[in-house]
Amino acid sequence: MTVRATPRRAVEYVIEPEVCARYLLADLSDEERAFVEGWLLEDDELFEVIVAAEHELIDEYLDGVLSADGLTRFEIHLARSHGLARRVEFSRALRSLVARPGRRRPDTSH
Amino acid sequence: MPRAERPRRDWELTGSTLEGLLDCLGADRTLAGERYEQIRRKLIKIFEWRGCAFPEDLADETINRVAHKLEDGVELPEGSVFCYFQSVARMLVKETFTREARRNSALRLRPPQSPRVAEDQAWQIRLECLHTCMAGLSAAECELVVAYYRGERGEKIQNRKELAASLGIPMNALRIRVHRLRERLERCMQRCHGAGGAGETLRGPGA
Repeated sequence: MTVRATPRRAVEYVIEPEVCARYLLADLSDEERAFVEGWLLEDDELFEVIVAAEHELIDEYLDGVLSADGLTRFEIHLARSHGLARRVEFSRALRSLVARPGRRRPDTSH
Repeated sequence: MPRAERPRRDWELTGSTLEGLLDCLGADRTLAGERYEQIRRKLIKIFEWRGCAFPEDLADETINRVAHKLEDGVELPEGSVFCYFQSVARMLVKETFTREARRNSALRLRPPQSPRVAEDQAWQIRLECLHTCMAGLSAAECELVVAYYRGERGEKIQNRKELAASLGIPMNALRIRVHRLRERLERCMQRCHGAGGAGETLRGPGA
């Protein structure tokens, strides 16, 4: 990936799920990382795409489908980040609730 | 969890410094304020994704440094304010890791441990909170979240494709729509958990 790219190409590059995941797992080169961060600071939609990609990554972690390298990288990050640990716990709770029929939405009609 | 020390605050943001920064972010004060909040939110995430402890403090430090540089008379070419925030943030990441490495080496710290799984009781409170928060969503929003997380692995992926198709939106748009709901739920759950659990909210005081 060249650092000089047109906005359109940059957007297409950054929203690639694989690029998002590699960014979040610190698996991009320093230059690529800086490129992604430059665009996500500038573009609100790209920022949301990456935040959403983090949720996907958490799901993959909880599903146990990350590659060995991905899992190692994820767990290193998890050990350092209070925010990620909080989001993983939230995802666990959400998945648990969704999997329990009848416990999703309390009756608020009365 | 990180055994890092809180970053030292080199600057404080005074009224006139903040005014200068807002001027740079836009002529309209409301819009400039929104940009300020959005930049701060993004910086927090970037520091978090970079694995820095205390991302909020680092985001504030970045903003403070940029604001002081502007006050000192640094002139930014049109449209380059984001680049400037980014370069200051990158410098802070380097400073943080250098300081941490020095400190860890001096203290011979063990690597940080994974977070402990929540105690059963805390877990139950969390679930109750989330249950209460789900009630704050509209029926359609609630169904969307449930449908999005339904199924296991491959089945879930297929469900999501079908869900996107049924809504007539691309997968990325579906992800963003769900992640916004998720963020609302997460904030609600934190508030509820901080307030002692869903019971407080459901039963009311004195029950």
